[in-house]
Amino acid sequence: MEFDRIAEKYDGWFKTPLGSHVDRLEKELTFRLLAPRPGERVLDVGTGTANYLLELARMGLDCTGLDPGPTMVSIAGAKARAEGLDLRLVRARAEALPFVSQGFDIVLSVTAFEFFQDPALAVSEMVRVCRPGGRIVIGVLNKWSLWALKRRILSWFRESVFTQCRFYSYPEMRRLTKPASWGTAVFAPPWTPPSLIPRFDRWERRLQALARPFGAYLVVRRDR
Amino acid sequence: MALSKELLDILACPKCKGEIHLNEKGDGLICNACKLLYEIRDDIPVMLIDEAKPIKD
Repeated sequence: MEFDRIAEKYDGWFKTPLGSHVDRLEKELTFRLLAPRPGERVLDVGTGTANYLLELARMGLDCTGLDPGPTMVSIAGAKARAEGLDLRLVRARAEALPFVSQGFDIVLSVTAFEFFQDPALAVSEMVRVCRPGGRIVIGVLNKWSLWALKRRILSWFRESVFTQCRFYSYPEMRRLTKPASWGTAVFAPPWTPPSLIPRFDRWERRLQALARPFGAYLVVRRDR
Repeated sequence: MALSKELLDILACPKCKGEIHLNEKGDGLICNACKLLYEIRDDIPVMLIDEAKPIKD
């Protein structure tokens, strides 16, 4: 599977100057909407190499993650063991979650929704496994951004993880998820040189308010 | 390392969402209703309907 071949490259990008800027802003927005508390049971749907799930484990949440392919899950497991953190990992698909109903306080999915074959079914499954009063938070790459345009164009020329995915705009996510709140982040364009990153950092919060539909990363929160 | 009890408690069959239980060898999870075996490979339960094995009566 394609995802399994790019797993290491995928983790490497977040260590570049622009990659770490993006990762930090995306996490800030996701965790602002997620409002995680120690001890809560979280399910990460499409956990990949457990970038978010490990962060939540460090905060003291009770963490379960799933991904369909073997490589992502084994990298996630190795990273957790290296840190002495306990993650429960399962291979499964978002459209057929192998969990009892209402078993989680939080259901999270970050940059995975783009790859689900049946997004409406995935949402109903995420709602099913979330307890009443819990929250479902989904982060996607915003269709209405220069990053999505760049990824789309590049995928015509070379194989990338984004070749077989679909991007969503806020109106599409609103229709699919009926969110209680939402936001976007990352307003630096994809070709931003490292020297300009601090400037975009200063503008980021203002742009999040003024140009909300157009940040490169879009997060919706649905309350159960 | 075996599967933790906490994980077993929250796992369900991905197809019918019903109860599953460990097989005798401890290397798979069985859904009696769907008559399917979900293998555990490298300590990871493979809860994919396409990869589940039918169980003979």
